[in-house]
Amino acid sequence: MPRDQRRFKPETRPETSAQQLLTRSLLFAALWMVLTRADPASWVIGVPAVLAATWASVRLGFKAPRPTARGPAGSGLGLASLDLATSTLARPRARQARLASWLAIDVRRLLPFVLFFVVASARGGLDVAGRILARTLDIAPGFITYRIRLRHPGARILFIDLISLLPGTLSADIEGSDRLVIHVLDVGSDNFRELAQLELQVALLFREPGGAGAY
Amino acid sequence: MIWFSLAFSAALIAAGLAFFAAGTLGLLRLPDIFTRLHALTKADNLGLGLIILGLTPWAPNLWYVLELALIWLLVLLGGATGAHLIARRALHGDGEDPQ
Repeated sequence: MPRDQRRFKPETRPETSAQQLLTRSLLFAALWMVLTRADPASWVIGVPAVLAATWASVRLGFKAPRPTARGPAGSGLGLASLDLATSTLARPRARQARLASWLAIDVRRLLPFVLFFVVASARGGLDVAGRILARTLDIAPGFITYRIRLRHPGARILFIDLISLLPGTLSADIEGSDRLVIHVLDVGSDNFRELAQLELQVALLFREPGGAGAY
Repeated sequence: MIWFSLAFSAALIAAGLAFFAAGTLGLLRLPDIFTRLHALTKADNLGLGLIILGLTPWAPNLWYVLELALIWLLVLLGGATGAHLIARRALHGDGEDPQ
Protein backbone atom coordinates (compact mmCIF):
# COMPACT_ATOMS: atom_id res chain seq x y z
CA MET A 1 0.00 0.00 0.00
CA PRO A 2 1.50 3.36 -0.96
CA ARG A 3 1.61 5.71 2.01
CA ASP A 4 1.67 8.84 -0.09
CA GLN A 5 -0.97 9.18 -2.78
CA ARG A 6 -0.06 12.77 -3.63
CA ARG A 7 2.99 12.10 -5.75
CA PHE A 8 2.19 12.30 -9.45
CA LYS A 9 3.58 9.36 -11.38
CA PRO A 10 2.94 9.78 -15.10
CA GLU A 11 4.49 6.42 -15.99
CA THR A 12 1.59 4.61 -14.33
CA ARG A 13 -0.94 6.28 -16.62
CA PRO A 14 -3.28 3.68 -18.11
CA GLU A 15 -4.27 3.43 -21.74
CA THR A 16 -7.52 5.27 -22.43
CA SER A 17 -9.94 3.38 -24.64
CA ALA A 18 -11.57 4.94 -27.69
CA GLN A 19 -14.91 4.56 -25.90
CA GLN A 20 -13.68 6.60 -22.95
CA LEU A 21 -12.31 9.27 -25.30
CA LEU A 22 -15.65 9.55 -27.06
CA THR A 23 -17.58 9.74 -23.77
CA ARG A 24 -15.29 12.43 -22.44
CA SER A 25 -15.33 14.57 -25.57
CA LEU A 26 -19.14 14.36 -25.66
CA LEU A 27 -19.21 15.48 -22.03
CA PHE A 28 -16.96 18.46 -22.76
CA ALA A 29 -19.02 19.31 -25.85
CA ALA A 30 -22.17 19.34 -23.70
CA LEU A 31 -20.39 21.63 -21.25
CA TRP A 32 -19.40 23.95 -24.09
CA MET A 33 -23.01 24.07 -25.28
CA VAL A 34 -24.16 25.13 -21.81
CA LEU A 35 -21.49 27.84 -21.66
CA THR A 36 -22.30 29.27 -25.09
CA ARG A 37 -26.07 28.55 -25.04
CA ALA A 38 -25.64 26.37 -28.12
CA ASP A 39 -24.54 29.22 -30.37
CA PRO A 40 -23.49 27.50 -33.63
CA ALA A 41 -20.82 30.14 -34.39
CA SER A 42 -19.05 29.36 -31.10
CA TRP A 43 -17.90 25.95 -32.36
CA VAL A 44 -15.04 27.67 -34.20
CA ILE A 45 -13.45 27.97 -30.77
CA GLY A 46 -15.49 25.15 -29.23
CA VAL A 47 -14.13 22.25 -31.26
CA PRO A 48 -10.46 22.99 -30.49
CA ALA A 49 -11.38 23.67 -26.86
CA VAL A 50 -13.22 20.35 -26.51
CA LEU A 51 -10.34 18.47 -28.13
CA ALA A 52 -7.82 20.22 -25.89
CA ALA A 53 -9.89 19.47 -22.79
CA THR A 54 -10.18 15.80 -23.77
CA TRP A 55 -6.43 15.62 -24.33
CA ALA A 56 -5.76 17.30 -20.99
CA SER A 57 -8.13 14.93 -19.18
CA VAL A 58 -6.20 11.96 -20.60
CA ARG A 59 -2.84 13.51 -19.71
CA LEU A 60 -3.95 14.25 -16.17
CA GLY A 61 -6.13 11.16 -15.94
CA PHE A 62 -6.19 8.73 -13.08
CA LYS A 63 -6.43 4.98 -13.33
CA ALA A 64 -10.12 4.19 -13.65
CA PRO A 65 -10.59 0.44 -13.28
CA ARG A 66 -13.54 -1.22 -14.90
CA PRO A 67 -16.15 -2.12 -12.32
CA THR A 68 -15.80 -5.70 -11.16
CA ALA A 69 -17.38 -7.75 -8.45
CA ARG A 70 -14.96 -7.68 -5.57
CA GLY A 71 -15.11 -8.52 -1.92
CA PRO A 72 -15.12 -5.88 0.77
CA ALA A 73 -11.86 -3.97 0.84
CA GLY A 74 -11.96 -3.04 4.50
CA SER A 75 -11.82 -5.44 7.37
CA GLY A 76 -14.65 -6.01 9.82
CA LEU A 77 -17.78 -3.96 10.14
CA GLY A 78 -17.07 -2.53 13.55
CA LEU A 79 -19.69 -0.16 14.87
CA ALA A 80 -21.04 0.89 11.50
CA SER A 81 -24.64 0.28 10.61
CA LEU A 82 -25.01 -3.45 10.01
CA ASP A 83 -28.51 -3.03 8.62
CA LEU A 84 -27.03 -1.21 5.63
CA ALA A 85 -24.29 -3.71 5.02
CA THR A 86 -26.62 -6.67 5.07
CA SER A 87 -29.45 -5.12 3.08
CA THR A 88 -30.20 -6.36 -0.43
CA LEU A 89 -29.05 -3.01 -1.80
CA ALA A 90 -25.49 -3.61 -0.72
CA ARG A 91 -24.97 -6.89 -2.60
CA PRO A 92 -22.43 -6.85 -5.41
CA ARG A 93 -23.94 -6.15 -8.80
CA ALA A 94 -21.50 -8.04 -10.96
CA ARG A 95 -23.82 -8.92 -13.83
CA GLN A 96 -24.89 -5.33 -14.18
CA ALA A 97 -21.29 -4.20 -14.26
CA ARG A 98 -20.54 -6.58 -17.13
CA LEU A 99 -23.55 -5.35 -19.10
CA ALA A 100 -22.77 -1.66 -19.22
CA SER A 101 -19.24 -0.66 -18.36
CA TRP A 102 -18.69 1.98 -21.03
CA LEU A 103 -19.80 4.68 -18.60
CA ALA A 104 -18.29 4.86 -15.14
CA ILE A 105 -21.66 5.66 -13.61
CA ASP A 106 -25.03 3.96 -13.76
CA VAL A 107 -27.28 6.50 -15.48
CA ARG A 108 -30.44 5.05 -13.91
CA ARG A 109 -29.03 5.84 -10.47
CA LEU A 110 -28.30 9.47 -11.33
CA LEU A 111 -31.68 10.98 -10.50
CA PRO A 112 -32.09 9.17 -7.14
CA PHE A 113 -28.54 10.21 -6.34
CA VAL A 114 -29.17 13.87 -7.15
CA LEU A 115 -32.34 13.82 -5.04
CA PHE A 116 -30.47 12.23 -2.14
CA PHE A 117 -27.76 14.87 -2.48
CA VAL A 118 -30.21 17.82 -2.58
CA VAL A 119 -31.99 16.58 0.56
CA ALA A 120 -28.66 15.93 2.31
CA SER A 121 -27.28 19.39 1.51
CA ALA A 122 -30.48 21.04 2.73
CA ARG A 123 -30.21 19.05 5.97
CA GLY A 124 -26.54 19.94 6.27
CA GLY A 125 -27.18 23.67 5.86
CA LEU A 126 -30.14 23.69 8.25
CA ASP A 127 -28.22 21.65 10.81
CA VAL A 128 -25.17 23.92 10.85
CA ALA A 129 -27.26 27.12 10.82
CA GLY A 130 -29.30 25.83 13.78
CA ARG A 131 -26.14 25.05 15.75
CA ILE A 132 -24.69 28.50 15.03
CA LEU A 133 -27.87 30.39 15.90
CA ALA A 134 -28.44 28.57 19.20
CA ARG A 135 -28.09 30.82 22.24
CA THR A 136 -25.03 28.88 23.31
CA LEU A 137 -23.16 27.24 20.43
CA ASP A 138 -24.56 23.73 20.03
CA ILE A 139 -21.35 21.93 19.09
CA ALA A 140 -19.19 19.10 20.41
CA PRO A 141 -16.40 18.97 17.81
CA GLY A 142 -13.94 16.14 17.36
CA PHE A 143 -12.29 13.81 14.86
CA ILE A 144 -13.39 10.37 13.74
CA THR A 145 -11.78 7.85 11.38
CA TYR A 146 -13.75 6.20 8.62
CA ARG A 147 -12.53 3.38 6.43
CA ILE A 148 -13.46 4.07 2.84
CA ARG A 149 -14.55 1.12 0.71
CA LEU A 150 -14.93 2.79 -2.67
CA ARG A 151 -12.24 1.83 -5.19
CA HIS A 152 -13.01 3.90 -8.28
CA PRO A 153 -10.90 7.11 -8.08
CA GLY A 154 -13.75 9.30 -9.31
CA ALA A 155 -16.13 7.73 -6.80
CA ARG A 156 -13.64 8.36 -3.99
CA ILE A 157 -13.16 12.02 -4.93
CA LEU A 158 -16.93 12.50 -5.16
CA PHE A 159 -17.45 10.85 -1.76
CA ILE A 160 -14.70 12.91 -0.07
CA ASP A 161 -16.14 16.14 -1.49
CA LEU A 162 -19.72 15.33 -0.56
CA ILE A 163 -18.81 14.44 3.05
CA SER A 164 -18.21 18.15 3.64
CA LEU A 165 -21.76 18.93 2.52
CA LEU A 166 -23.45 16.37 4.75
CA PRO A 167 -24.75 17.45 8.17
CA GLY A 168 -21.91 17.80 10.65
CA THR A 169 -19.01 16.13 8.81
CA LEU A 170 -15.95 17.56 7.06
CA SER A 171 -13.23 15.63 5.21
CA ALA A 172 -9.97 16.56 6.84
CA ASP A 173 -7.33 14.07 5.71
CA ILE A 174 -6.63 10.78 3.97
CA GLU A 175 -4.25 8.36 5.69
CA GLY A 176 -2.79 5.62 3.56
CA SER A 177 -5.17 4.42 0.90
CA ASP A 178 -8.45 4.05 2.75
CA ARG A 179 -8.54 5.82 6.11
CA LEU A 180 -10.41 9.10 6.10
CA VAL A 181 -9.94 11.49 9.00
CA ILE A 182 -13.19 13.38 9.37
CA HIS A 183 -13.93 16.37 11.56
CA VAL A 184 -17.41 16.27 13.10
CA LEU A 185 -19.41 19.11 14.61
CA ASP A 186 -21.09 16.83 17.12
CA VAL A 187 -19.41 13.64 18.29
CA GLY A 188 -22.72 12.64 19.87
CA SER A 189 -24.70 12.45 16.62
CA ASP A 190 -24.84 9.38 14.39
CA ASN A 191 -22.04 10.37 12.03
CA PHE A 192 -21.18 6.84 10.95
CA ARG A 193 -24.68 6.16 9.73
CA GLU A 194 -24.63 9.38 7.68
CA LEU A 195 -21.27 8.48 6.15
CA ALA A 196 -22.26 4.89 5.41
CA GLN A 197 -25.48 6.04 3.73
CA LEU A 198 -23.59 8.50 1.53
CA GLU A 199 -20.96 5.92 0.64
CA LEU A 200 -23.68 3.46 -0.30
CA GLN A 201 -25.29 6.04 -2.60
CA VAL A 202 -21.96 6.78 -4.31
CA ALA A 203 -21.25 3.03 -4.59
CA LEU A 204 -24.60 2.42 -6.26
CA LEU A 205 -23.96 5.30 -8.67
CA PHE A 206 -20.58 3.81 -9.65
CA ARG A 207 -21.89 0.22 -9.69
CA GLU A 208 -19.71 -0.86 -6.79
CA PRO A 209 -20.71 -3.15 -3.98
CA GLY A 210 -21.73 -0.80 -1.22
CA GLY A 211 -20.17 -1.06 2.18
CA ALA A 212 -20.25 0.47 5.60
CA GLY A 213 -16.98 1.84 6.85
CA ALA A 214 -15.48 0.91 10.17
CA TYR A 215 -12.87 2.12 12.56
CA MET B 1 -48.80 34.53 -12.44
CA ILE B 2 -46.05 37.13 -12.42
CA TRP B 3 -46.90 37.87 -8.79
CA PHE B 4 -46.61 34.22 -7.94
CA SER B 5 -43.14 33.84 -9.40
CA LEU B 6 -42.10 37.15 -7.85
CA ALA B 7 -43.20 35.93 -4.41
CA PHE B 8 -41.56 32.54 -5.00
CA SER B 9 -38.26 34.17 -6.02
CA ALA B 10 -38.31 36.72 -3.22
CA ALA B 11 -38.93 34.02 -0.58
CA LEU B 12 -36.19 31.72 -1.88
CA ILE B 13 -33.61 34.48 -2.33
CA ALA B 14 -34.37 35.86 1.14
CA ALA B 15 -33.92 32.37 2.61
CA GLY B 16 -30.67 31.99 0.69
CA LEU B 17 -29.38 35.30 2.05
CA ALA B 18 -30.37 34.19 5.56
CA PHE B 19 -28.17 31.12 5.19
CA PHE B 20 -25.25 33.22 3.94
CA ALA B 21 -25.74 35.46 6.98
CA ALA B 22 -25.84 32.41 9.28
CA GLY B 23 -22.62 31.11 7.72
CA THR B 24 -20.93 34.47 8.24
CA LEU B 25 -22.15 34.60 11.83
CA GLY B 26 -20.70 31.12 12.28
CA LEU B 27 -17.36 32.41 11.02
CA LEU B 28 -17.45 34.96 13.84
CA ARG B 29 -18.88 32.75 16.60
CA LEU B 30 -17.22 29.40 16.09
CA PRO B 31 -14.02 28.65 17.97
CA ASP B 32 -11.57 27.10 15.48
CA ILE B 33 -10.68 26.65 11.82
CA PHE B 34 -12.44 23.28 11.43
CA THR B 35 -15.79 24.35 12.83
CA ARG B 36 -15.64 27.52 10.71
CA LEU B 37 -15.08 25.44 7.60
CA HIS B 38 -18.26 23.50 8.45
CA ALA B 39 -20.23 26.75 8.61
CA LEU B 40 -18.85 28.04 5.33
CA THR B 41 -19.21 24.94 3.19
CA LYS B 42 -22.67 23.88 4.32
CA ALA B 43 -24.43 27.20 4.90
CA ASP B 44 -23.06 28.73 1.68
CA ASN B 45 -23.94 25.66 -0.36
CA LEU B 46 -27.56 25.85 0.74
CA GLY B 47 -27.65 29.65 0.48
CA LEU B 48 -26.36 29.67 -3.09
CA GLY B 49 -28.65 26.78 -4.04
CA LEU B 50 -31.71 28.68 -2.80
CA ILE B 51 -30.68 31.91 -4.57
CA ILE B 52 -30.11 30.06 -7.84
CA LEU B 53 -33.44 28.27 -7.48
CA GLY B 54 -35.08 31.65 -6.86
CA LEU B 55 -33.54 33.03 -10.08
CA THR B 56 -34.71 30.21 -12.35
CA PRO B 57 -38.24 31.60 -13.04
CA TRP B 58 -36.60 34.68 -14.60
CA ALA B 59 -34.35 32.78 -16.98
CA PRO B 60 -35.22 33.60 -20.61
CA ASN B 61 -34.69 29.97 -21.70
CA LEU B 62 -33.44 26.59 -20.56
CA TRP B 63 -29.79 27.38 -21.35
CA TYR B 64 -29.72 29.99 -18.62
CA VAL B 65 -31.17 27.49 -16.13
CA LEU B 66 -28.49 24.95 -17.07
CA GLU B 67 -25.81 27.60 -16.72
CA LEU B 68 -27.07 28.58 -13.27
CA ALA B 69 -27.09 24.91 -12.22
CA LEU B 70 -23.56 24.54 -13.54
CA ILE B 71 -22.42 27.57 -11.53
CA TRP B 72 -23.91 26.03 -8.38
CA LEU B 73 -22.24 22.69 -9.04
CA LEU B 74 -18.82 24.25 -9.66
CA VAL B 75 -19.02 26.46 -6.57
CA LEU B 76 -19.99 23.35 -4.54
CA LEU B 77 -17.09 21.30 -5.78
CA GLY B 78 -14.69 24.22 -5.42
CA GLY B 79 -15.89 24.97 -1.89
CA ALA B 80 -15.78 21.35 -0.73
CA THR B 81 -12.33 20.76 -2.25
CA GLY B 82 -11.00 24.03 -0.82
CA ALA B 83 -12.35 23.20 2.63
CA HIS B 84 -10.73 19.77 2.49
CA LEU B 85 -7.36 21.23 1.51
CA ILE B 86 -7.49 23.90 4.23
CA ALA B 87 -8.47 21.29 6.86
CA ARG B 88 -5.67 19.00 5.70
CA ARG B 89 -3.12 21.82 5.94
CA ALA B 90 -4.37 22.75 9.40
CA LEU B 91 -4.01 19.14 10.57
CA HIS B 92 -0.45 18.92 9.33
CA GLY B 93 0.58 22.15 10.99
CA ASP B 94 0.51 24.48 7.99
CA GLY B 95 3.99 23.61 6.72
CA GLU B 96 5.33 23.49 3.22
CA ASP B 97 5.26 20.26 1.28
CA PRO B 98 8.21 18.03 2.24
CA GLN B 99 10.79 17.84 -0.55
